[in-house]
Amino acid sequence: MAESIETTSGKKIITLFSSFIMELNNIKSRDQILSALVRILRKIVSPKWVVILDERKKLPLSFPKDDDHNYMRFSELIDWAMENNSHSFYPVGDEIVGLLPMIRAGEIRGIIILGLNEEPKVEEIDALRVFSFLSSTVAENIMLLQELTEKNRLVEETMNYLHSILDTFPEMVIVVSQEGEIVYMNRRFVEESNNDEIKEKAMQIAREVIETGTRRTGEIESDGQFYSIVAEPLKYYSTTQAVTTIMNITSTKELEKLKQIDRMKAEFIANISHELRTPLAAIKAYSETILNSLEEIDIDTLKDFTKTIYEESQHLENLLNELLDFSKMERKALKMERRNVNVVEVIKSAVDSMMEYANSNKVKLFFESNDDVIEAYVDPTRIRQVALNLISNAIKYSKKEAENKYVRVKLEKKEDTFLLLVEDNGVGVPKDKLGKIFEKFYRVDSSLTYEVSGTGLGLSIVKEIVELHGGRVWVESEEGKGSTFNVEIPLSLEGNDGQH
Amino acid sequence: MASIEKMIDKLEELPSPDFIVQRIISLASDPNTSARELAEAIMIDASLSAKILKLANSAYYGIPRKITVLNEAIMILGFKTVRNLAMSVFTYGALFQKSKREDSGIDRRALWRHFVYVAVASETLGEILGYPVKEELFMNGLLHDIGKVALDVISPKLMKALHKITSEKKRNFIEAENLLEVPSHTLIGAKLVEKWLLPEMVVQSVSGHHNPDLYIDSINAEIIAIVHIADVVINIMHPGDSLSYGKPELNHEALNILSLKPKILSKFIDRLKDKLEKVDEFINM
Repeated sequence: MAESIETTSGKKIITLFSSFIMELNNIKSRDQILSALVRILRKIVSPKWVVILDERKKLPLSFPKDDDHNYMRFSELIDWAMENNSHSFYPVGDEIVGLLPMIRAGEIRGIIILGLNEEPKVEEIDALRVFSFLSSTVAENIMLLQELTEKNRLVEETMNYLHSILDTFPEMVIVVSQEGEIVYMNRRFVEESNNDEIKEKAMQIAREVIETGTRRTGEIESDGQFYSIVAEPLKYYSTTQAVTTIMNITSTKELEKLKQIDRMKAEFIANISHELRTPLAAIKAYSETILNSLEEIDIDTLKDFTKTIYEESQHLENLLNELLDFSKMERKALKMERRNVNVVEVIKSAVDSMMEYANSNKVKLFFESNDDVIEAYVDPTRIRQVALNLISNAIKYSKKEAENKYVRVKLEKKEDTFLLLVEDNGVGVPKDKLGKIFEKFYRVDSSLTYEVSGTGLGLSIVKEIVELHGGRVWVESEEGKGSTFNVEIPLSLEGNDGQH
Repeated sequence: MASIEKMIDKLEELPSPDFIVQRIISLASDPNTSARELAEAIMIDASLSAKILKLANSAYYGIPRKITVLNEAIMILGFKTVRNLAMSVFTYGALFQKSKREDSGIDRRALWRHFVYVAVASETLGEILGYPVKEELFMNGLLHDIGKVALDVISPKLMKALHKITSEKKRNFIEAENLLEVPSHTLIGAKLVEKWLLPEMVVQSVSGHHNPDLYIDSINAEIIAIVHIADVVINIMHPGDSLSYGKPELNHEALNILSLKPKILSKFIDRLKDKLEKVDEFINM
């Protein structure tokens, strides 16, 4: 008899297990497992109702649905059952209320409350306990899985968020691994990485950072754009990587240039006022003297004075002309009036007119040309202006106390161009200033010392005139030894209208 | 000294659970039993009923309502707990029965305290480890040293000798048994519970509670390991109660069987201390 009972109940348990396991296969959430548990409980004891609470006695899941059977009336018993991990059944009125705490590793995970019509049997109680144990274990694992999935999602989202931030950077950002491979690149880099020159430079700096473990910076010019490269070491597990940022600083450089020009303009104004006042003061002083002592002045002195007045007014006129030219140049209104002329004659006349100035500075000025006639389609006045400017500069920047000072002007005919050289053995231009002397307002002795007079506009006007002729100007110089200014201008226009 | 056969013959002199307790044990294991049937079986013995009700209402269980009828006690605390209570009442009686021979002079109250503590400790450890039927652990813990009761009844002289060695030389009970070459309390205890027709897991946890490593392949390996750890922990907390005065020996295989981590062990000790404060009604039965 006893044996047959055991066999029957054993079979029943196995059937229940089978259907429970089958249900578990499709379960994804805690609520689903609890619903499956409710179905199993109903198969074991056919309760009138079931309520399941979580560990905080919240989140009730019930059968029949949406009826919590006023479970709070058992609050005291629920607390006791949960505190003592005790599976118990209370007679309440005409029903038996079952309290089955759901326990996992000694921790309460919730509680099942059942309403039964009659007292359950030992076997039924045991089965209820086993299934509530099983479901709390499965529910816990599902929750862990959900937590893990949620965490993974969060990590991924955070990573995407950081990527989007890095992608908005105007700089190119890459991370180079210890093996020298790019392991991260932001969008800007992907878009602009077709420039191998920059990439190579960035990789080289990154390798230095990985080798030395310290910050490295560099700059590179490519296609007229300036790039600044900064690489920082980054410890990643036990390796060193290099976070490398590549920044296009061309506009920053241009801004710096504009700021410098602004500074130079301010200097220029101070400078030009001084330049204009010097001849004006001389003119004023001499004419005042003449006016006050007209009766007693002798003719030689008068001649001397008026000559000075004439020279100073001429100097003033030159200054004003230069200013006017510059102003035209700024407004792009400098116009070349070209015609066919003999350049040799134009240059020779310029040299002749500077002879006296050269002599007064004890500078030997000479002119040479292999040709008597070099015909070119140019503006003779402007070409003369170029020659005058270069020659007067050469004389002006001669060494004050030196012997054998000279300025050599040479004219050469090339295939399609003529070449004008103005060579001197004067003070020369410092190497670091070579690139700047053709910039407007630039004077090598930019300080307000007025050692050498001038507006600082001459060479920039020269450059403009030469370029308007489709030519180029450059300088070779060694500080303390002398300079050679070179001007190369095409003989004819070749489609260049000379207006720009 | 005394041969095992001789001693086992003498087990006849021990009280065996009377008909009522036997019936309670078998009803509590029968899957088709109802609460009423079990209650009816207990109620035959009025004194037993009263003692069970007293324990059911004790601080240890802390039930929010007072239980007045056995039927309720069975429903609320469960069949197995009520069985445990009946078993406790019986074991207490067996331990304190009037001996026909001379008195061994051991502290029976201390030994009883050890039984209750190890029962509670086994149940608590099972709870923390997530063992589903923790009430079984209570019974296994309660009876693990029943062999000592047997020895005391069969041969108070021998018990006296063993106790002298353990208490004076600070030795463990099992060491004293080896020294005197007497059958161990684990062996005698196992024979006794077998004779009482208790389930096999009780027999195994009585015979294996010092050597869980020998029962790794047993279906009851976890139960034996739990009782072993509970016994060791209680011996550390209350040395001498079990007539053992040496350093309790922890069998490391027990930790492996249960995959017990130090963190869980310290959680167990904390919870155990709370529970041991509530067992006065069991000790002063």
